[in-house]
Amino acid sequence: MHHHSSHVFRAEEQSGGGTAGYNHIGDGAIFLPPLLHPDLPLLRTSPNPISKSSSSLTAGNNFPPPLAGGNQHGVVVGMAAAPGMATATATDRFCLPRMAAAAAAASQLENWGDSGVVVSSTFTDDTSTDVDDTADKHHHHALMGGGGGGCRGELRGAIFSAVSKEKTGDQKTQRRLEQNREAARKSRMRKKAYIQQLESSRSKLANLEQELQRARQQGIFITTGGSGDHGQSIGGNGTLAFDMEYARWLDDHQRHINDLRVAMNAPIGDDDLRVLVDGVMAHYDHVFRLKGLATKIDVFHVLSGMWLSPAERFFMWLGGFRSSELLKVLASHLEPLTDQQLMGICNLQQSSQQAEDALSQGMEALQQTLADTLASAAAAAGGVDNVTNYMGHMAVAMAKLTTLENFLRQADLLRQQTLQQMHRILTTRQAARALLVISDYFSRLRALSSLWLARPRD
Amino acid sequence: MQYGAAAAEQAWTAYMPMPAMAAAAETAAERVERVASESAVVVFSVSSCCMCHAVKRLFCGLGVSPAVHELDLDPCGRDIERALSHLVGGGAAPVVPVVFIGGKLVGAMDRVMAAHINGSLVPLLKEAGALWL
Repeated sequence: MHHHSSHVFRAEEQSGGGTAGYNHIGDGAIFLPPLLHPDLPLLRTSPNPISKSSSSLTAGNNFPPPLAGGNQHGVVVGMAAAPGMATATATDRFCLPRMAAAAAAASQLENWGDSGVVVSSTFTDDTSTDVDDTADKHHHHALMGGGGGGCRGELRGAIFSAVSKEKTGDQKTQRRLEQNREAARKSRMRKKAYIQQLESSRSKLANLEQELQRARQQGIFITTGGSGDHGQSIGGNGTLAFDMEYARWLDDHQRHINDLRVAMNAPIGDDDLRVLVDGVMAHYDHVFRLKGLATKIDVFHVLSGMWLSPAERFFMWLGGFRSSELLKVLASHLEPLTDQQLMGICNLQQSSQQAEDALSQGMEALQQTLADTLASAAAAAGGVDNVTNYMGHMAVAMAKLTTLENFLRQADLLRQQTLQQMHRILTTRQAARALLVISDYFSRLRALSSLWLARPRD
Repeated sequence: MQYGAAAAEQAWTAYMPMPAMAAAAETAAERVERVASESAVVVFSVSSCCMCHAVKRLFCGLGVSPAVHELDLDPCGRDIERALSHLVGGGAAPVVPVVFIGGKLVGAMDRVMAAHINGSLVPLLKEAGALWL
């Protein structure tokens, strides 16, 4: 099956060079502008079709015989004006332009101007897009070989004589122009394809976000891949409630941030801005309270980060964001800073890093001791001793697990205090900008998650 | 009241044959104070406690080597723990770690972290002579 756009009949030299002679007729190439022949698949010539044998005349034989006599003109006009004729025979219709062009070529050149063939130079050849139509080529060869049946010899003669009139310079110019046009057309098509891709991605994204919104309201939390019910397996209502509360908090947060953004762009006094900033900070306190409650209900759920978007989860540290990373994100957006402020921020970044490291090491120790406890519970002697031994170890393990809640709590305190200290160091306007930057950063992480979820899979 | 006939007290003396009378010379609270003022940085800890491990790592990371007092290795450990919980105002959470700097109480883990974040910990350490820079 030939693509309309990818097959071009060119009575024109291929971009790869090749024969200089055969394809040129008259002042330029014979082009069949695709606009006039929407139904005609346009064919590409091969460099030396004439050299092929004429044995496979069969394809050509099916063709209504327009070549004889003075019918060429009619044929050509037919091509231009009556695509219906071209579609006469499904399998052979691709022969038509070829035949017609050959016919036109074969016809004496005095018919040339009268023919309906438009010598148009707008035609381009997608040589790069249809490299593997060898079957096509064979047909071409066959046709050209058998083209016009008996007038093959005349055809060749006519064409060669036309060619001999051509100057090489003209050819080169023509070739360059055509290549330019071809390149332009290709790039237009690429651009169109890209835009279509973008549009479809956009609509997919919009649909997905709608779905998410709906699902949130129904209390279902959508997780990536796999089964969607891992989110609330343990803790039941508790974890689900937290997920919903967090989603609601996120919406409120976005509203606060939007108000702040609008205020930043408007000429607003510092006092009013401070009210907004304080509002955002207080709202942050609210989420830490929520997390505290959730930790008591199900520490593993908070620790798992299933209530976060996938990309946020990737960066999660001990049940939330990493304060030191956040400060790094802020670094370039806070200028200009006074020396004192700069030092304050640097110290804050450093101390949050140190605190995070300390807690991380504590967590590692916790993991290690828990593993040791469970391992020693496994290695046991027999008998009743075994059971009490087992129970004893389990009790110890349980006690250690309660420490986990403490670690999570300390991590959240760290996050909260880092934000508060940052607020203390910065001016109102700087703090407002900082909060916007932070919020935008997390929005981008969430957007990345959405894009990832919506990506086309093959 | 310190000499209370608590079973715990008897249990302790069973293991550590120190005459209960003699040990009563110092109350737990006084003991805490004494120990706390012996070094620039004092951490009351329990050897198996991971949060204590975390606070120790924090100080090591700052270049400070605190004097660690493991309560589970101390005969009067439980008393001290009780005294500490009074000082810190502990709730359900384990009391330790409790940190003293320059003989003054800083608090449990959350206080220490808060102090570090708001930038008051390092000056405190320098003041007590635990840090030089």
